[in-house]
Amino acid sequence: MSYRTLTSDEIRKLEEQGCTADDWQGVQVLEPFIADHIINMRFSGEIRIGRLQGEHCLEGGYAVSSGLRDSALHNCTIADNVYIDRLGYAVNIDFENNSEVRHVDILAVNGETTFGNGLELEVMNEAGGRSLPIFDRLSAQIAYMLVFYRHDQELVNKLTSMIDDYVKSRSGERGCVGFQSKLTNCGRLLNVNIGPFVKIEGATELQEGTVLGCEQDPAIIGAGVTARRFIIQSGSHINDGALLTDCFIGQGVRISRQFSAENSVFFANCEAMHGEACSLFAGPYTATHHKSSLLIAGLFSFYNAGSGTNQSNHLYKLGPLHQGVLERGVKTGSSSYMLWPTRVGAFSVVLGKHSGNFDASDFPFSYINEEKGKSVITPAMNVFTVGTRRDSQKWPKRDKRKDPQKYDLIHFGLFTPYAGERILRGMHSLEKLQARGSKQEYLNHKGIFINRLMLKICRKYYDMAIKVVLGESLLRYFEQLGDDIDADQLEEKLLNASEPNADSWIDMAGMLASRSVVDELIAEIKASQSDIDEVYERLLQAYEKYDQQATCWTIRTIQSLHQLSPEELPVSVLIQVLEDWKTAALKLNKMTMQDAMKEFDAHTRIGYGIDGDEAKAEKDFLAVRQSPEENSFIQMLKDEDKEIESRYNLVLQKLQ
Amino acid sequence: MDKKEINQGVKKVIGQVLGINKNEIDDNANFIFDLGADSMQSIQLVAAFEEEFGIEMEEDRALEVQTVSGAVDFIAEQLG
Repeated sequence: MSYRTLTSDEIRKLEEQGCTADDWQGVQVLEPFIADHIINMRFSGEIRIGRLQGEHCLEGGYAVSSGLRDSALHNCTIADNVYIDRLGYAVNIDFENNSEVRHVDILAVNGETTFGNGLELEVMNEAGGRSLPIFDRLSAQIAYMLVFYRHDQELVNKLTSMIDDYVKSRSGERGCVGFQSKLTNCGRLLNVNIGPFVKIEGATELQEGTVLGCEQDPAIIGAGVTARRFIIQSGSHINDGALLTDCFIGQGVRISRQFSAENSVFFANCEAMHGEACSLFAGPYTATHHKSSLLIAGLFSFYNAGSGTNQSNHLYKLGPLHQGVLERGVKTGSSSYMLWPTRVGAFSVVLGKHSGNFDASDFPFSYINEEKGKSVITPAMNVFTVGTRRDSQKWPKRDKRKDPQKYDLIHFGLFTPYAGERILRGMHSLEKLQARGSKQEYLNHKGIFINRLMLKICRKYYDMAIKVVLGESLLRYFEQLGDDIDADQLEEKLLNASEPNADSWIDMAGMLASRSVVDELIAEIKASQSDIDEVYERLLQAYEKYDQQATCWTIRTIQSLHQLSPEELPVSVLIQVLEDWKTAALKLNKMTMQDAMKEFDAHTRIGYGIDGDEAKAEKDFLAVRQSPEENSFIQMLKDEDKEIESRYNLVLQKLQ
Repeated sequence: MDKKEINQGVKKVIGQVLGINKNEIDDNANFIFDLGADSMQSIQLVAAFEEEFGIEMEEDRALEVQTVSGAVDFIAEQLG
C-alpha cells in the first residue's frame, strides 16, 4: 500500500468542508481518495487514511457512506471503509477495515501499555500470595495452576515467565479498533485494545484493557459499563451498568445489571448479575443472578448462588485472608452464609448460615443444613434429587462459546470417575464413623456434624451411586469398542487399557484429569523450553486422555472392590458390574422420579386457581405446568429406563 | 412382632424424628402433608425404621412409603 500526501486541491476542498490540520503534510491518504466523505475533521500528528468507500448500515436500516465526520484525530491510522462520526478525539489508534465509531468522547492510548495483559489480580486471597497475571489467552486451567499450585514454585515461575514473554508481545503505544467492530455512544476509552467484530454500545468508561471478538462470537459491552484494568474474551456480554475493576472475563460470560467485581476471574459461561464479587475464582458455569449476593475469596464452578448468598473471608484477626472451595456443582440456597475457610463437596447443596469452618469435601452429593447454629451434613442426599440431574443435563446445552478457539477445557457429566472417587471416599468416611460405635446423636467429621442415624443409609445411597459410576464407565468403554467386543480377549484388552495409573481425580476448573496425568502435565511444563502455546497443546493432550483414564480408573476400582489382583478381571465380574449398574441406575431413576413427582403434589398447587375452587386450581395448574405425563424431564427419565435395559442387553449379549 | 407392636414402634420413631407426640399420630397420617416431614426427615425416618426394627429397606421402595399405615405394612412384610 502506498500512501501519498494530499494535493492542494484536496486540502482546499477539505478546508471548505470544515476540516483543519496542524500540518496537512502529516495527513496521508490511499488512492482512490474521496474528499467528499471527510467533513468537519481536525487532524494532528501523523494521520493515514484508507479508501473510504462502501456503506455502513446503522440502526433502523439507515445506510451511511464510510467517512470521517465531526471528530478530532491525532496520530491515527484509518483503514478502508471506516466510519467515524462525532468522536470527541482519538489519539494513537489504528482503525481497522470496516470499523465504525459514533458518538464516543475519548478514544486514546497514553504512552506504552499492555492493554491489561500482565496485570496481576489478587484472586482467592485479597491479602495477596496468589497473584494471577492475566493475559488475553488465559484459560481456566492455566489460572488454576497459577493460583492453586503455589506449593510448586518452579511451575508458577515457569508459567509466569511464559506469560511475561507473551505480555511483551502485546505491549505497545498504539491501540486498535478491530476489523468490523462497532463503538457507539461511549464515554472514555483509554488504553483499550478492541478486537475484531467487537461491539461497544454505551459504555461509560473502559480503561487499560482488551476486548476480544471473532466473526462467530464478538464480545459485546453495553450501556453504562465501567471497566478498569481488565481482559474480556470473545463471546462475552457485559451490560447494564456492570462495574469491573481488575477482572478477567473468559469466553461466553454474561455480566450485567449493576454487578460489580474486583480482583476476580470469570471463566467460560459464567453468569453474574446484580451482586458482587471480590477475589473470586469463578470457574466455568458459575452463576449468581440475584441481589445482595457477595461471592468472595472462593473457588467455584458449575455453581449456582441463591439470592442473598454471602461469604466472609475475615475472622477479624490477621486480615481478609481466608478462602473457600466449593467443588463443582454446588448450590447455595437463598440467604445462605458461609464463613471461610470452608470446603464443600461436589454437587452439594448448602442451606442456612454456617459460622463454623468445616471440610465436607469427603462427602459429595450432600445436603448441608444449619440446625440450631450447627452445620449438619446429610451425605449422598443429592444423588437422587431431580435438580442435580437437570443441572447436569443443562450445562453442556448452555455452552455459549461459538469461537472456534475455546480456551477453557471442560468435561461435563455427573457420575464421572471424579465423582466416583469422591463417592468412595465418602463411603469410607461413613464406615469409619460407623466403626466408632458411638451412640451420640451427632458425630463430627472435619468440623461438620452427621446424624448417627444417617450413616448407614447414606452409605447405601453412595453404594448405589458408585455402581452407576462404574457401570456407566464400563459401558461407555464397551460401546466405544462396538463390535470388537470379544469375550475371550476382553480381560487382556481391559488390563492393557488400564495403564497408566489413575488413582485419584482432580477438577482443574472444569477439566477432569487423574492425578498422574496432572503430574505428567506439570513435569512437561517445567521442562518446556517453549512458550505458552506449548502449554495449551499439553493441556489439550491431558484433556483428551480423559476416556482412557476413566477406563483405567474404572478397572482399578472394580479390581479393588472385588478383591482382584491387578492381573485379573474375569468376564463374570464385568457382567456382575453391569448387572449392578442396571439395578442401581433403574433404582436411581425411580428415586429421581419420586423427587420430580413432588413438583406435582398438592403442596405445589398452592397459588394456582387464585379465585376458584379445587377443580379450577387443578385446571389452572395443568394449563401452566402440564401433567407429569407431559413433563419433558419425566418423559426423559422414562425413556432412560428403556435405554438402560437396552444398553445392558446389548452389551451382555456380546459378553456372553 | 405383630402389627400392633410395629405400629407402636413406628409411631415412637416418628415422634422422635419429627419431634411430635406419638400419641397424637393418626394411623392414616401422611409423613409430609399431615406430619410436616421434609425431604431430609423422610430419609431420617427410613434410617430410624431400619435401626428400630433391624431391617434393610430397599432405597427406592422405602421412599414410596408415605404414611404411618404404609410404613407398618412395609415393615411387617420385611419382618416376614
